[in-house]
Amino acid sequence: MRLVELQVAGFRAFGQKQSFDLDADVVIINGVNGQGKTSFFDALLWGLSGLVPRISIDTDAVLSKFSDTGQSEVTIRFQDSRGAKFLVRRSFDGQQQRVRFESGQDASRDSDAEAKLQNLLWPGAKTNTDPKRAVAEALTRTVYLQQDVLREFLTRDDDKSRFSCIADLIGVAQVSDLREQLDRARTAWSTITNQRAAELEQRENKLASLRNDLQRTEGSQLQVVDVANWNAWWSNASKWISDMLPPSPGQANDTALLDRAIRTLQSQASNLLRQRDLIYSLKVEMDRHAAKLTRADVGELRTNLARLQQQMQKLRERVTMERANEAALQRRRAESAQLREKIALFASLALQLLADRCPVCSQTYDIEATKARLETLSKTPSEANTPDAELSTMDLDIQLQNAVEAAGTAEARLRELELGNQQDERWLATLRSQLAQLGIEVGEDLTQTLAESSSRLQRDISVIEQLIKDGERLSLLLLRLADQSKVKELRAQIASIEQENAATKSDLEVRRGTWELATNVLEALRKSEDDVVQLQLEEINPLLQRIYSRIDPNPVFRTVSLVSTFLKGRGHLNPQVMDSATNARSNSPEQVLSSSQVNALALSLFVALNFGLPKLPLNALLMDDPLQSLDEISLLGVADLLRRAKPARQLLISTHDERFVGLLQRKLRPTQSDERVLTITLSGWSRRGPDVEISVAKPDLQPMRIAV
Amino acid sequence: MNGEILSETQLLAAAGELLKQGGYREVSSERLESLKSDKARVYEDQYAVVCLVVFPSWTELRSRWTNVQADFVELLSKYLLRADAKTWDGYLVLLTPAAALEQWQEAQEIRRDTTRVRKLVGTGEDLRSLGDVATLVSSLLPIGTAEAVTDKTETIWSLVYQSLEKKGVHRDTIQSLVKSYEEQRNIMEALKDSLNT
Repeated sequence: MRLVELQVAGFRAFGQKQSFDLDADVVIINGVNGQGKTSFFDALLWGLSGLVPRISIDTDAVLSKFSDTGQSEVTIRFQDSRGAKFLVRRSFDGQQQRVRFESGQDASRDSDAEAKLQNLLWPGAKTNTDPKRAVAEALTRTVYLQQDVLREFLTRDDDKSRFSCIADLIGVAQVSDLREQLDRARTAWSTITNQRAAELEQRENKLASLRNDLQRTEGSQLQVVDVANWNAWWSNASKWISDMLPPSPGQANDTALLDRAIRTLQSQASNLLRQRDLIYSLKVEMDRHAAKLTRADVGELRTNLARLQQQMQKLRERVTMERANEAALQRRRAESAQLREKIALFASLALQLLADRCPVCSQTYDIEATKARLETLSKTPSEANTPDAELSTMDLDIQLQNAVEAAGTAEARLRELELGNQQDERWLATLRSQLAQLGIEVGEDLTQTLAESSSRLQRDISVIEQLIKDGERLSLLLLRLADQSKVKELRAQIASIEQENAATKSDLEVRRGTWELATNVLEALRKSEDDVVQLQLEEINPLLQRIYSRIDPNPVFRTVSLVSTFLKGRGHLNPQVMDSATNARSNSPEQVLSSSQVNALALSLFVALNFGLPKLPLNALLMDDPLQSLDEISLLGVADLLRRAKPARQLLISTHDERFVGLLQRKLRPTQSDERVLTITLSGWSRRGPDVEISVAKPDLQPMRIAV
Repeated sequence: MNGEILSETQLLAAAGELLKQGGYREVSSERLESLKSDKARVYEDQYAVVCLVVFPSWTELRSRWTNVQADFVELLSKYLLRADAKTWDGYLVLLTPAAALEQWQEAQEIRRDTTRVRKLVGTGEDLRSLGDVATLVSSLLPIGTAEAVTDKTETIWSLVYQSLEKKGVHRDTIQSLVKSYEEQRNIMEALKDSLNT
């Protein structure tokens, strides 16, 4: 990449627009201090990167106080080795930076332009968190020499920063970025791997649990629900669960419906049991009533009562009659008694008079029998029949009294029966009502009705109880059927998890293999960063040595190198100067070299990096007053160095030293017709900017004078 | 080289060869006149004229270099005008295989003497290999031919590939990794894929 033109306006020392032809192999910018030499280089740096790191970023620092437009604008034209032309125009209005980038016919602006420009100049910048700064630093480390920056690199930066800087420049930053990305990705990968391993472990535990479940479930005897039995049960049960539609065994809610049916049956059974108990109690009550009541026929009682009353009447009549008879009898008894007394008296007299012959008739007789008879007669009282008569009346009275009592009793019994019958009728009415409420049709024979009802209820209860038991068995079968489904489900689950686990194990194996590979690659990348830096340093160091030798500023410490080490995953880099004769060396050049010699070393390093790096943002060397503090021999060395760099690099060199201008013009003179060497003289600076004078050197077309 | 001190012949041949490789032409010995010596050569390119002289000892170098310089200036003045820029681009390269450790200050004085022509001085302790000779004359040579040994077509990744391959990481794996990185895809997936392949 070669610079072709620079236009500046309102930028630092350039208040008004100024154009610089840079289409040359060498551009020498000459001017005493304060004429805008550094602003010239800053304009190039700012235009290409958007930054001037040594001054503030995006502030009024780049904006000229004397800008006509109130903004800074820098336009840079450049082209590559194949002739492709590019333009970058960057402006800053004090608030915002704008950029336009043209590549051939393609034009872009702002962020797009910035990205394309960065990609063209320093592709490694895209991996940097601050691409602008990466481009600016790449420019200031390798293309645009700012001695103070390089002096800082050599004398102030720590060894890790130096390594990082060099690693960035040689492109190892991309490797570092890759390594860091890989490290982060590996960590994230590991996290996910661990999560998956944990998930696998959980699934393995679940698998073990499922296998246990399966073993247990498979262990139970599996029976299939017989559909005929199932349907028969529902058919039998339908009498009591008529509101339910029988489900099919195995359907989703079969268990619930069966449970509901069984609960209904249990409820029905409870109802029937209550009915049965009620009937039992009614029957007991009825039996109790039946036991209490003779259920004698009231009519018979009435007949009996009438008969008793009639008998009582007869007895009364008979008593009356008997009493009359008794009075007559008494009379007869008195008469008889008198008779018998007379007979006795008479017998006594007869006894006394008793002889062999009847005194009256003189007839013979059985004296003894007569005597006995007379004695009996004399001894038998007359009233011997009276007690009987009294007894007879009394007996009748008793009989009458008994009859009265019996009639009273019969009458009371009749009344009791009649009352009992009335009560029975009422109870029966209540009973009938209760039975009717129970839906029992009461027949003629209540006892039989109750017995039949009780029997029927008992049968129903038995049927329901059997249905419940059968239902429970069906429920169990359903449970087993569910178990069977569960077995299938478990097997499917186990198969699925086994498959998933196998896939996960395989995945984990691959992931762990990938992690191990990443770890190996990471380790190798860490080493390779150092290797690559070492490799590049192996090339840069001889270059650095030879460039340093061209200037050869120190008579003793004539050997220089960049020494890198890789410790604890981090690279360290130190500049080393050495006296090869005594092997004395120092990693702090400022301790053994003068300020001028450190400048020479810085310049050597700059050129070495410019020539030693695989890629540069620009194929150029931009040096802003590189001769500060250099002694004469070093100055000649630098001039020779630049001359030998000229074929490979576009040179833009500024100096405030007129003598050095002459030296450069002579040393860098064009020796071919197509070679251009320009001298830009900046002078007479005012608020508008410096006066600019450009001269073109004439080429020496016959450079070979002796070896012809 | 075997670490021995280079001979005068070797020094002369090596330095001359380097100059010619750097685009110098050797001036015909017929033109050297007073510089004619077995151990002196003169070379010229577009910018400079270089007189290369090898002395057998430091003592001889110290005693003769001014004479050699005079002869060289005379040669320049014969072919160049005073106004020619090239008149100021004469280089006298003074070499000796002999060590001059004790005389380094004297050697330094010769180096720092910028009158008439610039002097490059190399003594035995600094000239132990062809590389040392190249370093000494490097300021006379284009940077691109003498020092810039880096193969610019070799990307940093190819260096990384080489380094990683040496550490046992397969090239396909590295390429896949780098490709994935550059395309901003998941680099672990790239490694995983490379495992599968």
